[in-house]
Amino acid sequence: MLILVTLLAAQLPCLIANVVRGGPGLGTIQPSQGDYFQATKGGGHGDYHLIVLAPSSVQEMADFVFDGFRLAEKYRNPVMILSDGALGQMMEKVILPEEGSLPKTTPAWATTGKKKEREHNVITSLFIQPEEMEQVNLRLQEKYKAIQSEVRYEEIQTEDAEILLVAFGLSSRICQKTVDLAREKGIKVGLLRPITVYPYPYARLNELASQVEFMLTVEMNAGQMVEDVRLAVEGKVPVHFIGRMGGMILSPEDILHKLESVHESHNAVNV
Amino acid sequence: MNEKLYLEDEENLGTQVDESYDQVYCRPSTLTDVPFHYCPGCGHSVVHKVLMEVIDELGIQEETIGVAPVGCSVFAYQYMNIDMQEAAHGRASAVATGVKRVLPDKYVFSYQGDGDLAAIGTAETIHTVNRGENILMLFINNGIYGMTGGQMAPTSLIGQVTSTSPYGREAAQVGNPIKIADMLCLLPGAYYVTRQIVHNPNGVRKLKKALIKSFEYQKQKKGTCFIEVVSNCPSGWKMTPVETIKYIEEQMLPMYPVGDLKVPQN
Amino acid sequence: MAKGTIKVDGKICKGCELCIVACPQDALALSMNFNDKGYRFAELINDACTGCTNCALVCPEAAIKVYREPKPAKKVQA
Repeated sequence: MLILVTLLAAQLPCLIANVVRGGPGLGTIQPSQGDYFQATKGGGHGDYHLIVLAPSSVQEMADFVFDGFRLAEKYRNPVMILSDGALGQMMEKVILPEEGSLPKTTPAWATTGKKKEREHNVITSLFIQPEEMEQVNLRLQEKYKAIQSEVRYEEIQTEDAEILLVAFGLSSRICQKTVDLAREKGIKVGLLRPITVYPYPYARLNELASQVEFMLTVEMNAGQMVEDVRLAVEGKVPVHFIGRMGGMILSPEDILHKLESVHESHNAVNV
Repeated sequence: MNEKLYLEDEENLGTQVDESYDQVYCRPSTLTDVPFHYCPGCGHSVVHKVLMEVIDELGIQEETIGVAPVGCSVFAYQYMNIDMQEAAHGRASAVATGVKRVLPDKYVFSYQGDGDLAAIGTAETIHTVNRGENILMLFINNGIYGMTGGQMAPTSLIGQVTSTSPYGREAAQVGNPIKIADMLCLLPGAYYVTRQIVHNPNGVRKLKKALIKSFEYQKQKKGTCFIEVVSNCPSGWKMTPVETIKYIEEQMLPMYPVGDLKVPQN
Repeated sequence: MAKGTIKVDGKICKGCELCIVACPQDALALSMNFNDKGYRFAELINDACTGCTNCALVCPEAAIKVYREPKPAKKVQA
């Protein structure tokens, strides 16, 4: 994390691929989403954020490399692709972006040798005077404000949804099946999949909160993104959680079962 | 005796110089106007100055990129008027590798102390040299952690009293001083390895030659050039700068003898 | 022996005395004055300087400029 924070404070663009395995510790080598907090909330020192892209398919894993570099260059900020052990080993049809589709640029701040017409460029993460460090922080916060416009998410059958599943990455693929299974049973379920988990689609989730009965967050961890969902809905509707840890994967039926039991308990209260 | 005890701006250069005289030595233009923050008599400043003199004389200011370490010389980029990057502790040679690979035709050097290069950065150091990266690695060895308050370094001498070895370094407890330059000679990627000093004028002249050679080898893409400078730390050693000269000669140099350790074979 | 002289930037000199030790002519000493950092700075005390640059080479602050009288051959050319 030290190196990551160094890159961040020095405002160096870079792309990090985090293919998450079950933890903590050396842990397992099976898929997990246990690094959500680390990726979106920090884990290093200082006030900072990465731009975090959460792919749910091999195609997105390929596309996000290009998107990631573009965002990193645009904002001079490290970008993370938050994948997992299953997506990392998955074989799927993929159309690779054309070679050379990333522009090769030499930004003015790069250390390419001091030219006579300019001052020397220095790339550093050391700002020993607190006044200066605060100014750097203020600039970073301005940047994070601008980054909010890059928020991306996907909605599946949310138009008439009465129940909303919220899941990213691999979990969202499993939830798609749950949506189909539930709709076969006549339960109107929709799915919101954040594609960027930082910035997070707080506003859209807040809107959907006025439409649905409750939300169910599905993650392969002990419940990390659920905190963001709760922040987003501002108590308008209950937010439930189902997850497994340590490299275990939920089945669509597990999620459906949880969804039905929550649905029933809500109905019981309403009657 | 003196009426005025403090210097005024205009008077700080002292002597009047005969107009017919030639200037034979001055501060290199590749140094910024910022005065060094180093303690009086510190070898870091001398190495900064000599390095910048060489860059000035070779005319490669526009072609050189430096990487600064963590330690006393963390602010090297404030003084060296070239493009520079600041690396995380111990990682200067890794950053220099990256810079050199992106810009293979530029001159790249890393500048590190012993707490940086020979302790936390040992792995990066060894693998950079083993890959034979076409960079110059400058290693300032003063046998102590200067910036943090004179703690024992891997290069501290046996018996050396530091703030973390108050009874003197004991080999049985913390091992012997590590001779990193000697170790690096074993690696095929090391093209030129030398150990120099800066506490006397001849030492400075020889360091300058070694630097010129290293940049020449880098131009020819020969491999890693590694220059160790046995330096001082008056504050950490609790000595006056003049006393450190004696300490270097009597204590440091028997352990870290001056001279070329690996020279090109041809 | 050539004649030379030096200029010491007393503003940035830290009085480390390394130049005094390096001078083969014993032409340097610390001033009785202080600079605004509180250091006694180095200065020439006699005219024995030969412009050998030893003091400037070891000066950690790059505070010394060295001047030397032109070589006689050069004078003839001029």
